[in-house]
Amino acid sequence: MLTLLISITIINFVIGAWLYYVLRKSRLLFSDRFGYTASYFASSTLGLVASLNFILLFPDHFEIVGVLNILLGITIGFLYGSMLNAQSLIAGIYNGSISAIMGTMLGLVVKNPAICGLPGTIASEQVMMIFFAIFSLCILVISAILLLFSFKA
Amino acid sequence: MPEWIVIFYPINFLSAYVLYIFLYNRRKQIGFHLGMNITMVAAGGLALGTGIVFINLYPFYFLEATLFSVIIGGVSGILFGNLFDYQTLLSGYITGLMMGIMAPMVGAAAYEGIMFLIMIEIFILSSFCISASSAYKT
Repeated sequence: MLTLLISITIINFVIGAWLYYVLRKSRLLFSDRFGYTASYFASSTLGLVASLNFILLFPDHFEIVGVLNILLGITIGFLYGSMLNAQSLIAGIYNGSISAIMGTMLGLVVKNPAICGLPGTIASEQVMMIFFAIFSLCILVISAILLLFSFKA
Repeated sequence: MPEWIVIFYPINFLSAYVLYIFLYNRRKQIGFHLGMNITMVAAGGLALGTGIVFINLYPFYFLEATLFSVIIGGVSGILFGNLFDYQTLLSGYITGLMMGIMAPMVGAAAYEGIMFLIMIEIFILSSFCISASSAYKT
């Protein structure tokens, strides 16, 4: 269980670092508009996935992990947005932090469904955590494939 | 929650289909900026309506509601964005994904509120109408 979560987190960060490397290598080809779209897309997906994984890993310390998640989202947005110009920098920072907040909210609802007024025993807690961990991996893989194919189109 | 809210599904999907057919004939005249906004409205609205209606019909299935609305939002974003450009496809996909994750939580927090549901439906339909009229003017 914990091994699965930790390995999925590490796989997600490896995919994110590889995506950063690929985008960084070909950043001279970017137009203005593609820089904006790529920064928006990558920082939203990575912020969501990373904050969801962290809040599932450390569910007991909500306040500290929430603050660290927002800082992590800002860092991811800064890294992806600083490739081109100020427009993509603003878009990356804003969307990274917003998606980090949404990932934290999703993780809290997964851990305790009574926050939203859902019945408490929807599925067992382990099933929901495994499902959402694999779901984050699928989201990141599909997004990386779509972003890599955008160089050809 | 009454059972007749199932009819919001056919209304949503039929109006999105009409919007798609309407845009398909005019897709050469629409610029990328207007195309990006139309795609975001269509994908986000469809995912929002789907998630809220599903979680109100079956409140015991949170996993399936999230999965279903994310798939609907992503696929509709990809389809609508494919009319214009590849970068529009990326924008539509990420908007549908975000809205699809958020919609079951909003619907669960507003459980048993039928007026809220009708208001969301009116909002989605009117935003589709505004998208269609903006495509007509250019």
